[in-house]
Amino acid sequence: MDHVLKWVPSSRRLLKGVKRNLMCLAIPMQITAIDGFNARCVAKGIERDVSLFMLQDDPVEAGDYVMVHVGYAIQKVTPQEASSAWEIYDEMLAADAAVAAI
Amino acid sequence: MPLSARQWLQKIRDLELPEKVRIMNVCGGHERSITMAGLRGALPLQIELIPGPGCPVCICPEEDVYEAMQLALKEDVILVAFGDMLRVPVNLPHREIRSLQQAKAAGADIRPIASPTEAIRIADANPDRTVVFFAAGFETTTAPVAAMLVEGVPDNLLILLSGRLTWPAVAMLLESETAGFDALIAPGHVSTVMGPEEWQFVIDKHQMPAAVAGFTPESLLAAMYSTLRQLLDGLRFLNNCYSEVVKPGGNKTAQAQLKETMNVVDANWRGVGIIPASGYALKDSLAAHDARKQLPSYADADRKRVGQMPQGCDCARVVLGKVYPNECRIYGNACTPRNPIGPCMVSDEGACRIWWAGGVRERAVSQVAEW
Ligand code: SF4
Repeated sequence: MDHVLKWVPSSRRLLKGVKRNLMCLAIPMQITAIDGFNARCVAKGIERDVSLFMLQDDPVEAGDYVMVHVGYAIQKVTPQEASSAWEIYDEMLAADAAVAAI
Repeated sequence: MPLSARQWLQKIRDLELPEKVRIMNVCGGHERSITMAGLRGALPLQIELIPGPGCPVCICPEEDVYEAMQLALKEDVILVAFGDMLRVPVNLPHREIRSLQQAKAAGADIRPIASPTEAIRIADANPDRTVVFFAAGFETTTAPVAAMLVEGVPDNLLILLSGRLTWPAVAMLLESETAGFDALIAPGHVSTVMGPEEWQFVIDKHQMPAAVAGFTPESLLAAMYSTLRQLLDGLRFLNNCYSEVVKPGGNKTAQAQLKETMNVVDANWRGVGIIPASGYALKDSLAAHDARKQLPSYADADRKRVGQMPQGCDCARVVLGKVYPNECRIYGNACTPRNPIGPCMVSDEGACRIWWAGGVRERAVSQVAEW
């Protein structure tokens, strides 16, 4: 059972090359500032502008975490969910490649 | 205290499983987690994990990619598309331009984008040019396009929409006599937007166990355990194993924005054919932004293999979960990520590419009789 849940090293290397967004994968980010429907968000020290236009029924404020997909926040999440999601994304993609794609 | 992946795995190992259980996932992100975490090797041998229709790039109609290419080459437009679409080949002779990337190299103004907001920015920065946004994707990606349209887009931005819904492909498989799987892992982020209830039909209509999963091995294993227990105990219910993110009813704002801008229509899936009520089309009220209405159509029904997968490529059956990626005759030979023949090897969400990235190098002998 020792090989379980270990990442294949070669795949990790290959995934480092992934620059494109995964079209169905959302990534958790923390909101640092809000201006209308635009939010400044941060994850892994990298900042991005994110649209809050799809979150109008679920108001958010600075400090909240959101799942971001193709530049749009699709759901508010708890800090716990954000960090557990990041654990796997750290494994799946080099963090910078993932954030570059948001 | 939530269980760890190891604990979930042990719980699954402790079950008295039947000889064979086939669990299908329909999300490239799920397949990536499963492959990269090595879940196939870790689970009991009776459990088969089948990647199903989870890659929007793979099933994006060949004729739509062709149309996007022709618009970029023949009309005075800037064409923007999600980066994944650029390398998807269409069925043209090798000496001709066969992908958006090749069209770009030949001088067409084609720009990869990662967000609909970038399409707006490019249109704003080029007010005297027409910008065409070739928008392919499943619900999670199409909803932001709808949001963008509701918020308002510049006059010079047109949309070439190829949005698709995930569940009708699963419904089609289940309605065929040979679905090929016994339980379903429903997609996490599609359910976040559309609501987990979309998958209730799997339980109600087909009495098949189903669970919504997130993207960690824990969440995926929890969902697998749930479907296995449902099978063994004769229970059926849609178990939401990603409840931190997937809320009952989904994202209502997003659904309202989709409804306001798009109709659900019968739609073609590359290599598969028409699936009823599985595509999005812009409403008439948005005709001024509809590239299909504002620009000439280059559809050419006489083109060889129009709408099909490339010659020799088994993507259509890979997408439907009928064969594993490495059962394709040219997996790893003629077709590798460096030199992809079919869209499943092009896209980061394609099962062939994920398996290759996960280190699967051997070809498997297909069990399908005709081979
Ligand atoms: S290995 Fe290549 S040719 Fe074969 S099904 Fe996959 S993408 Fe298509």
